[in-house]
Amino acid sequence: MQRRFLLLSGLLAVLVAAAPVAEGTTQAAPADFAIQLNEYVQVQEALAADDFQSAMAELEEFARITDEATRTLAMHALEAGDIEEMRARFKPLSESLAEQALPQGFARAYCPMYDNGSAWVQRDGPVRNPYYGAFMLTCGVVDAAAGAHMDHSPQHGGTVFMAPDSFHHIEGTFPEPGLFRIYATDNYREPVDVTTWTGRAVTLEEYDEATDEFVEVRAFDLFPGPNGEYLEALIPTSDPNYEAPAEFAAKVIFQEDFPAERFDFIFGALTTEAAVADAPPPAVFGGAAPEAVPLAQRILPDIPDTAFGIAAEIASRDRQIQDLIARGAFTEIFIPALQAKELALALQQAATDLPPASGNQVRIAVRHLVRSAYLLDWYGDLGNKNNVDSAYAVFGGAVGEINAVYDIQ
Amino acid sequence: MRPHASGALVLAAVGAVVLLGSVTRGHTPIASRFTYNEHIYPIFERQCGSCHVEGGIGPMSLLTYREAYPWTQSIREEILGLRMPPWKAEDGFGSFSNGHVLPADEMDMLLEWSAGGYPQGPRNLTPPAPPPSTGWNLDEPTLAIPLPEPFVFDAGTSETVRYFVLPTDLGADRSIRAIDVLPESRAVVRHVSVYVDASGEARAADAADDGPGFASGFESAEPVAVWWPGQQIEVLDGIGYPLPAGADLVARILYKKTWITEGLEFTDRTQLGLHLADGDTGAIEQTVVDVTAEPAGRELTFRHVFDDETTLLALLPEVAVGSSELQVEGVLPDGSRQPLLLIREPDPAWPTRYWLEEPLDLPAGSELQVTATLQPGAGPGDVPSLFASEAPMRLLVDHTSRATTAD
Repeated sequence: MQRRFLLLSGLLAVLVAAAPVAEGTTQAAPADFAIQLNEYVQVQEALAADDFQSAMAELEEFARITDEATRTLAMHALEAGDIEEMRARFKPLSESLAEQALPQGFARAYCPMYDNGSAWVQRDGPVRNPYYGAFMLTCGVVDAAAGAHMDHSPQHGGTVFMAPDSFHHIEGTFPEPGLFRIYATDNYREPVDVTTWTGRAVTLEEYDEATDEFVEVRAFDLFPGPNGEYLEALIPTSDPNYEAPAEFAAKVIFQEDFPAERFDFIFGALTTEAAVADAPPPAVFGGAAPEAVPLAQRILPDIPDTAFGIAAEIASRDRQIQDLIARGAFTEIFIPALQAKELALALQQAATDLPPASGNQVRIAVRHLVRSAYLLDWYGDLGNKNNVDSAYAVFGGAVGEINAVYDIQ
Repeated sequence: MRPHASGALVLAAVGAVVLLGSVTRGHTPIASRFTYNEHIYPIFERQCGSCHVEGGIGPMSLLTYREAYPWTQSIREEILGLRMPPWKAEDGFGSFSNGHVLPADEMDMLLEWSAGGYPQGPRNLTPPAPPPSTGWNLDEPTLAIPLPEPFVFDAGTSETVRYFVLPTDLGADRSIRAIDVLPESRAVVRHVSVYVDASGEARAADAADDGPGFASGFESAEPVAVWWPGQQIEVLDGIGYPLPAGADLVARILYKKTWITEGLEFTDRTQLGLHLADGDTGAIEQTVVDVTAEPAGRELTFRHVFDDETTLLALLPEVAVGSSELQVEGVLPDGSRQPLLLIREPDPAWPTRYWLEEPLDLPAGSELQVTATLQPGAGPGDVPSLFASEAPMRLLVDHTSRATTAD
């Protein structure tokens, strides 16, 4: 009974709220679509945060400003007695909005799991699933708005990694001794306010074999700078990483109650803001259209004529990767890694005159070289050194097998 | 510094998006040379389609673009983690007749496609929807035996193992060449192993349990068939598993739901399709090889010596302790080594019998040497055995003694 009463009072509130508008004009004109969506995403975000009360309150507001057809769907959802029922009824509303052309800043998202596949609209950014909330917050894919670009160039002279949410870009800098900073930008490389972020800059860890985990030995809090422009950690003079060369594992918590994301920065020298002006212009998506050739084709290495020549080229890519890992230039690993993968596939074709045992050794090595090249590419982007190291262990093992067959030192 | 391209390949190829005519709204750059319609669908159909099909046991179909593309991130992670496809034995370290790993070039295509914007490709090449698979995997069996009565897999249960007794009522000794499996509820029949029971042990366990089948009380035999959806079935010629007159077959069925079937009720009456030969065919023997040693560092090695001449046919490993690699070699009396089985990232979820491409003759005194690389901090897990071993690492070896091997 009580649920019924709440429901009716909710409806009443909507009607009352809508009434003055109806009296003042001949018809309550629906608000501009972007304004409607602004209100809609309040509902979507409340559902993603598992907040039933806020979701209902925001949905009432949305029902007040939307058009007649959409209002019917919203009213239906407002009759829900609990959050799960509301989510089920939120789907037809969401899918009707998702079918329309979306203004800048909004994105259509799709979760293939909920109710045999369900769409919604959200702000351009990491997936925030309103149907599952914390249970599976990031389940789904986002059609990012056209215009988001592919620029990974540093804006403060540091090193940029992609966050695992495929939205935030994290730039680490070392502008003066004892000062480590993290800047964040969004998909458009616009600055992100990091006031609510927390984290640690770790300068020393020890590996615990029993748990296969790294334990922090020396770590310093990352705290927000003025206006949330960056996070920074102050490193004491007693720490060997006070001056360059220095290594920091930044463990950044984007959102309360979620685990920290790790980014490993290695600085051979202090970074300078001025370096930006000297840097080549970033490859910006949306300028002159690049040549219509898939990337994989454009970075294809020359393939030597002999199997030995190919194996030697793989060994040379391996040395490049080792050097890049040592320098912390993780985002650059993908080129030698993917080239080595192309060479390895060619080697498999060329290695026809080997004794069977060696042929099999190459065959298995090539499969795991291909796999680990993609792992290096992926983890390199994310800037997590432990993951890069584990991928390289497989890659290096595969190269070692090939080197053994071709007697390459 | 590298421009971002969805985790893998670089430099946005805007023109390619237009040319390929797909993903016109999103900004994901098409960095893949391979498209779903032209290159990826044939791989999915061959390697994944028996489970990842409408109504199959996989939680999503990969046989239409619309159903497959939202899963590209998962596809990439499953392949990179060597979790899918479930067949694990590396080709090249031993060679097998009933399955193969994803070859390097197909792995490369799937990874480039899933990380490189997953283009659909020319629409006029859209593959037709595959016809539903409803029949036996092999030809018509000699004898088809359904579960004695339907089993209800209730809505509230996510996973259960059930044993069923299937009387054969054959008047003479026969030999099993192959056992085919035809589930009624394909969406939940995840794994089936079949045993021969001439002792009446399974009947007693069945009688002691209400309802169709039974849950426990028959854990002492070795399976004569091991099947999961999509698993190629080995058909033996000249040898087989003895099926004494009047013996029962016992089917151990793992019913398991995915998030798509969670909360639903299923009724299943799986059928076994027996392919039989006369009873005088050479008999397969089965030997359980258990771990007998303590690990040395991260390496665990154990052996089994064959005192008599033996012909090796198949290996069924079970790994119940976290390990990154499992390797089985034959070591002959002259010291030479024969690679038999190599598994990276063993996964206890899909027990598989690996049939050697060619039976391997081992002289008396030969040994099987099993070496595993353990994961740091790994302790024994709770992995039920299909052949009643409680060791953390075990191997069921199918072989014949030379005298009984048919020419």
